[in-house]
Amino acid sequence: MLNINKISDRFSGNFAKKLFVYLCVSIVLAPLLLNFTAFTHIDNDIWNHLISENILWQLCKNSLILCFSVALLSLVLGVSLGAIVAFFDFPARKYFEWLFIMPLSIPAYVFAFIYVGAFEYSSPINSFFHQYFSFDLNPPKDALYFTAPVLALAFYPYVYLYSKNAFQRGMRKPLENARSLGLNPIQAFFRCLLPLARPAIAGALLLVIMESLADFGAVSIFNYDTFTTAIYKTWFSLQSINGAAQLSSALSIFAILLIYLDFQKQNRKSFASKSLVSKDQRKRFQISKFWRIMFFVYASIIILISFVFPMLQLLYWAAHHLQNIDYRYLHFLSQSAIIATVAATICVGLSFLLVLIQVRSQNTKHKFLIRLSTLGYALPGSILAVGVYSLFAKFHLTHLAFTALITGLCIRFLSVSFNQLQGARLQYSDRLSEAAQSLGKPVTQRLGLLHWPLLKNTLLTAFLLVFVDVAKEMPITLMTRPFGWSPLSVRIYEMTAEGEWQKAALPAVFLVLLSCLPILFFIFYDRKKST
Amino acid sequence: MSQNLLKIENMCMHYPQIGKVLDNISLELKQGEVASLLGSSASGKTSLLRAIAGFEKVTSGKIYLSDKLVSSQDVLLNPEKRKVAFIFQDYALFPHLTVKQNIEFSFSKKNQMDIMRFCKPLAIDNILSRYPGEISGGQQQRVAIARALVSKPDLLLLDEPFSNLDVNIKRQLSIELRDFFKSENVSAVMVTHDPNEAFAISDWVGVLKDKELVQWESPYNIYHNPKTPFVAMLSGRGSLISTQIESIDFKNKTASLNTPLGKISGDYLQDIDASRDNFKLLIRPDDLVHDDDSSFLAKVVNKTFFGAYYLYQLELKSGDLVESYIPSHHDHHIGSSIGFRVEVDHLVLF
Amino acid sequence: MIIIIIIMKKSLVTLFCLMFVSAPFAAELTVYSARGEHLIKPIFDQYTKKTGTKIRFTTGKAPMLLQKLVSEGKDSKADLLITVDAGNLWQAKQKGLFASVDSPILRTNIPAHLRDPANYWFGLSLRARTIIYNSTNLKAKDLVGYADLAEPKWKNRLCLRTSKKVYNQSLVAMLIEDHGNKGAQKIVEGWIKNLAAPVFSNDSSVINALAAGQCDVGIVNTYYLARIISKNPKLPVKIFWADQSTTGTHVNISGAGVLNTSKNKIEARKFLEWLSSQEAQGLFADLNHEYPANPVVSANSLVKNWGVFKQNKLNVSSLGKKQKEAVMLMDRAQYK
Repeated sequence: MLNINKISDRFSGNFAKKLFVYLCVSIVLAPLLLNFTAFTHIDNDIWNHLISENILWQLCKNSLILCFSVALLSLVLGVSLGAIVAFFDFPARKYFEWLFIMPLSIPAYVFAFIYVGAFEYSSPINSFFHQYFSFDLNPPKDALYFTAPVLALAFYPYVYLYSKNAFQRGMRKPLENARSLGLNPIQAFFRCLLPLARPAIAGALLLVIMESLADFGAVSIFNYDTFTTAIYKTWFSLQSINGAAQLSSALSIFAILLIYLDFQKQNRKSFASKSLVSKDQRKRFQISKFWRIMFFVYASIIILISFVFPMLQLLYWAAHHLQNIDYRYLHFLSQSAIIATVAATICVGLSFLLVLIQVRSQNTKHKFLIRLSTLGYALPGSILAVGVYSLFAKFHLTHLAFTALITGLCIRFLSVSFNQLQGARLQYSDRLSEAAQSLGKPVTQRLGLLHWPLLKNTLLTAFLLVFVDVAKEMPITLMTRPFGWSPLSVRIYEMTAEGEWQKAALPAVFLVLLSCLPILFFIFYDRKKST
Repeated sequence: MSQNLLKIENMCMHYPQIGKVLDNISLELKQGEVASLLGSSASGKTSLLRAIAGFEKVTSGKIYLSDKLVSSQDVLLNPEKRKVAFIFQDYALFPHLTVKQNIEFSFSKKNQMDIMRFCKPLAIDNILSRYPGEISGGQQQRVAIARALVSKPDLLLLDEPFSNLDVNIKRQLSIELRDFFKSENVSAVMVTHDPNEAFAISDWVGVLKDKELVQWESPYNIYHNPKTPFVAMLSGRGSLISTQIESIDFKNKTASLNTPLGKISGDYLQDIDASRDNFKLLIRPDDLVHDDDSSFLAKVVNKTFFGAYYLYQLELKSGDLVESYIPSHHDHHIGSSIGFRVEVDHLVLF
Repeated sequence: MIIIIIIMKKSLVTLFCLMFVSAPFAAELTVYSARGEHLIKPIFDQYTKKTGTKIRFTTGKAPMLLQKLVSEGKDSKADLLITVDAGNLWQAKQKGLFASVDSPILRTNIPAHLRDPANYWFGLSLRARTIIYNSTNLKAKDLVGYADLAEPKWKNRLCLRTSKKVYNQSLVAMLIEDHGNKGAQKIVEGWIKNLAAPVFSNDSSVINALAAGQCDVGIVNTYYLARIISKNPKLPVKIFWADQSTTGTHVNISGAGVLNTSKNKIEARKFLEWLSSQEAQGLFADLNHEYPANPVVSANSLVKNWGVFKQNKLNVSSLGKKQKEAVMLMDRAQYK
């Protein structure tokens, strides 16, 4: 008479979820863990050298200062631009909205060599200044003052995009409430909106910090020594891959710490927001003509230095090498496009599932474990490349080059799509999932009927970001690509490897063009939706 | 073959960070019955509801739906398989779907119906093409109900369904809902903190205090035979006055009491522990009737106007404070003494 | 647009096959090269045209290629490794990646100091890392050699590339061999005191700085100067062969070796021998304005015009041996 439901009923869904999560997390953590195995053999002379010459201490300081500076600058730039684009109307606002994403299509080290080239003693700009004004525009003695701003120019779009999305996702009500309580707009912004957008912005800042930490190309060009340059030095110059792996482990631990701190803060604040989202969130506030002009000027200046000027420089250089364009460039372009599309699709798909599982999980340990799947960002590109390749080699699968490539890229960039999707998912409450459950819809149908429509927009932006990031990624692509594959990022590298920066401009321009495609598609889709 | 739609046996529930939230809950509900869960906040009402729905695990004990074990220590049938519809406190309407699409959400190839059957009585047939963000709270409430009913559930669970609504709408909607439930033979469990709502709608009322189910009975019994002072105070206004037993007949369950209101005799229902000599007697405002002819006087210390009646707070010679409903065309000054007659139907002793 | 779609479709099919393809076709060589594609593909194409042997290759950074080979182990499909800088070749040998090639042809074509003493690898092109000077301010007779640049008279007049680049590490490795640890350290410290500007991240910047007058002397690889001069012949920067009266100018090589795990050792050896031959040497070096390793072959005219110079005859394998020491020395001397 009594029907006892088997344990399978309880666990079938849960078991599949658990398996999926463990699989993802172990693949991501495997390269990192491989690094930790390097501790079995310690090169004492190298460690002695690094510690005795105070090198490590100095480098740690340098890295931290760099991260902090870049994060601060990106925060100010990104949030201010995100806010003015989300809330106010000013001339050409709708163009600026998308232009601010464009700097992401330029690799950080390309920014670096453009700016170093622009300001070095022999450059046209500098020559102009010290010929006519006897003023030496020499780059600052302390490389930090050059490195941090340029990296901030390369990375602020992350913060911009995340905060703009957060602001546009129904912030109008809190803002109106704040205004009705007597706060002026500036107070309302800082005391109401900013805290609400905090999770999204924190996610973006985490990305920026990790990028700055793990960057090698740009800081090399500026000759700013960081912990990561020490990793490469230990590997390339001091000939100790073990030492490099050990240093990388330290970097990973630091990254885990950062993720943990962010996770703790996020966990405590549960934004059990109302299930309803007002449709009327795209209306913007009216402001005086003075402010409209000010915002326009500000936006223009930022776009000029972060995109227009670099592009002009690249186009100028590329124009002198137009003879290099041949049919092969179509191959390079399509190869980049294929890799980026496949990697972005897989990243976004995996993040979609991981985020949904994580948000509903009751178990804090599980939630943190899932969050750890974003650790791929914490390793410098080459170290991760070696890790992934070793992993495949251990299973005798090195001939599956394309698979290794995509795996490495997904490990690296899962964080980008995960953070975005998590921010968006937290905007609506679990009640919606539960309501769908109580109305008889199993998990597969809930994905399609509930989560996909609500997260569609963010899924597209996440795809966009990963696409652009993958297209410009270099170390993993360089090391794991199949024979005969030469994506644009590899072309750029080959030119810069021997200092032929100007030759690198041509593939760089193509890279920007490639990144334009998904952005254009997204603009088109967005316009269609709002009409 | 029992007709129990819902049966809970000795159920306990834990949350990992918080600890125990429900202890040793047992209750039964038959098809077509409506029950309410009353209690203060954090008494575990919502957790109990969520456990029935399958959103939360049960640490020990069992939950049966239509005689099928759905929750226990080792078993958890997923919510989507339970045919239990849940109406959330904030309605949880899907913001990206119209009202019509929301209501039809539970449809599948095999399972469809004419939604107008519920939309017309709930007066939402004219807003079917709107989005949840565009309709009022009361309308959202009714859409949530329609959506749940359309899924043809065996049991309906409502979590504080009226808490976000105006008083007038609340009152009207609860009565409408009661009639609606009865005509459709709907079984439901509703969580509320308002005893009036609970009494108006339900066949059964459960009172939760400190994670335990203190009493599970009809509204009448909850009001007239509360098991604990907490239940007594929750279900209506009343005062507890010290009293001593003068004489008691255990077989017939009658007693005679010495109280500050004089000698009172009557039936009692509880089990009395004769070794005690001090008890508390429950005096409801309707137990004291204003009688100018009575020699028993009490001083008016406070009065509150309720439209049809005043609620007087009276001070007895013993110093105890009691309350009484007085028709509002009487208007006594505060401080004046007025006469009373005690009309206690049965004794509620603690 | 259509072309893009067609190419994408073609690439998609190839990619699908690539996911599973492992073995190359017969008479095919697989090369891992740290030398850029534009510097090796023309040579490979020429070999294929001549012999029909197809060559598939992948490029990358030398340490990463080494690590790739180490990971692959016996699974590796690679036959040859081409790298830039002797240090990398030495490291590859240390890791046991190379197979010894007993070839009289190679021994004849490549001078002894430009190949591994035990025949594990062979230099194919030569570059010198020597002194350049601003010809408007200085004359050749003002210069002597590397050690001289540490003298106080050069204060605020020297421009150098970063110590992080392997070329400088090899240079300092040579100094250690020639002057001992203490001597080399003194020289490097002297250099740092004489810097006119913070170290540059590449040689071209050093050349440009010289030309613009930011400094008077610098140390660069010859081919960077050749590249810039070929575009801008009027540049006031001239080359000076260092230490001609003593040990000679520091040279380094770009070279290759046959891999231990190669299943095609005979083909690989044939290819290597061809690379050392007169036919190939010219093109190989010319692509990058370098000197052919084979002394019989002359360099291109621009480079030839700089004249003959005395090379430092230190066996370039010691550049790798001393690299670690060189790096630590440069750290101690605060050479960034």
